[in-house]
Amino acid sequence: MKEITEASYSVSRKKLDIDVIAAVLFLSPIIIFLLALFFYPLFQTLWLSFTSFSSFREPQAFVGFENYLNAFREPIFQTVVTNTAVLTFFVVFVDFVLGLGVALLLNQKFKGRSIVRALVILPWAMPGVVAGYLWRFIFNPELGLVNAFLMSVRAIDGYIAWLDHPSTALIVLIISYVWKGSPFFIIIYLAALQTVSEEQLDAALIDGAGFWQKLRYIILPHISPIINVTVLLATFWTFNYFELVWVITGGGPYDSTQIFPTYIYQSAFLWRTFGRASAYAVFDFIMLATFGLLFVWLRKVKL
Amino acid sequence: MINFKLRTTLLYLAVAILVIWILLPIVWMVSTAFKPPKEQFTAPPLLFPLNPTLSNFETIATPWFIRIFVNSLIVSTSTTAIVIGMSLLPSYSFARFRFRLRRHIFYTLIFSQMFPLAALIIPIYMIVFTFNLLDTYYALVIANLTFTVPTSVWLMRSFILGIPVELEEAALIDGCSKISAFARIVLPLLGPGIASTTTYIFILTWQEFLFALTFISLDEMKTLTVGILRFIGQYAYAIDWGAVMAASTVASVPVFVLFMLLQRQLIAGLLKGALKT
Repeated sequence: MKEITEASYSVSRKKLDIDVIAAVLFLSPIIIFLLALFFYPLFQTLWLSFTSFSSFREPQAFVGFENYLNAFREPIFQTVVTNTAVLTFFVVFVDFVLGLGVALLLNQKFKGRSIVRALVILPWAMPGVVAGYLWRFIFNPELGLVNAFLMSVRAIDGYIAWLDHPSTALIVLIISYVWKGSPFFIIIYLAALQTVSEEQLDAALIDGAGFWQKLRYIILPHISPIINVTVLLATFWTFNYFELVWVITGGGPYDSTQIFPTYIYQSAFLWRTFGRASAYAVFDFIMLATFGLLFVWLRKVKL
Repeated sequence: MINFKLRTTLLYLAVAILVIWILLPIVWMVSTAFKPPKEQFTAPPLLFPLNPTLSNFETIATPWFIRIFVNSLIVSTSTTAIVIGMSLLPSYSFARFRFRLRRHIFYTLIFSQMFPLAALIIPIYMIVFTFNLLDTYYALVIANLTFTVPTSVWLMRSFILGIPVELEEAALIDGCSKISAFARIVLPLLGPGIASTTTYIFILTWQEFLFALTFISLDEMKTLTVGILRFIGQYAYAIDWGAVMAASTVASVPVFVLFMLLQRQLIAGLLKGALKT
């Protein structure tokens, strides 16, 4: 079989040329896609960040690093960086712990397991905007479930306006992100757990290994490639998720919950300061790319 | 024995907490959608409506709402069809051909998916503006390609890798060309892969919000996700939550149904994608 493989792929010179031509032809949609919708926008954003571009009618004036220097001077820049980092860190951490925990739970045998498994992923399939309104409604001071519940168990005396305070607003955001995002990881981890060999687990059981030992020495090493990929994906998705913040807090109160996507959108499309927004976008990109490359390198992720 | 019972009890308790955490918001959404106005303002709130009514759905069932529902369908369906069509041959190429730059192009593609949409949206807006495509379906379909094409190629490639290569080799020896080997052998076996990639891409585009918010300002061209904003209105204290939740329910149903139909294949596909990167 090996000879055939070589014959059909690389030995014959003529065959090879046809392969190269076919490969290039087959790939052309992707190459066009990358050039038009990835590289072009990327360099355009970079260029815009050095201009004072604010209207399609006026020429774009080159301003050097002004947009960046201004950003570093603004307090809002720090808020945006901190919020995005804090939100991403907590959400990814909880997504991972909850995802794995629930996956282990759903891997046990119990009645109604297949129904629960199917239901668990619903939040992921639900549009983000809808999830946003839902959580905003749940944390509504007078009409929401959370205050009603806390009042009924007498944990609080009066209604709490969750979204009017920066710290509680951030907590509401983290909760909504986890609710929306963790189901995806639950399902992936659950599927990954099913590839752990039963024999190995049985052998460990006979050797007297407890739950934590099995988790640490058999399960985690086995699914660690999946964990790497999912943690990486979760970071990128959380970092760039726009809808929930936009709908739940709108970046408020007083810009205290602004994250990169919402602030870039606002600067560009509400205030029409495209140059400034592009500088923020470049910074967003650098932060994420640095993290991505470091993570891939340190955790030796195979992509 | 007692230990076993305790364990079982704890297990079911944990499952119950999980189900409440996942489902309570969804139940709350649907129940609010069926509540008459009076029951919206009770303290404590009612978990289920006492007198279920369709009045909220009647409020939202305007010709405009039907229009934006159809808009969403058009945009999601055409994006999905184009993406699937566009990624079949490249995925095959990534899975089967060996050539220089293959890995580089593939990595670039995967990494492009990880870059912030916010960093891409201004130039894409300029493209759309220059070609006079604001307020058209084209704008949304083109923009949606940015995040769907990489995912689609990634998933589809892993499905193709799962098909034994020997079948194609036999065909090639029999004098089949590469393209007909793909069409006659790979494509028919790729059915489940295409089905789950389609589902995944459809769910993603159905949710899309940022591009629709940016590129569409005409009311009749809006999609569902952005259209729902209208029920919120200008003043936060005057929100008609019954209508918002009814619209939200309508927006969630298609993806819930689609997902329930294809969940098994979809999950298997996602896992393959995550494993065979």
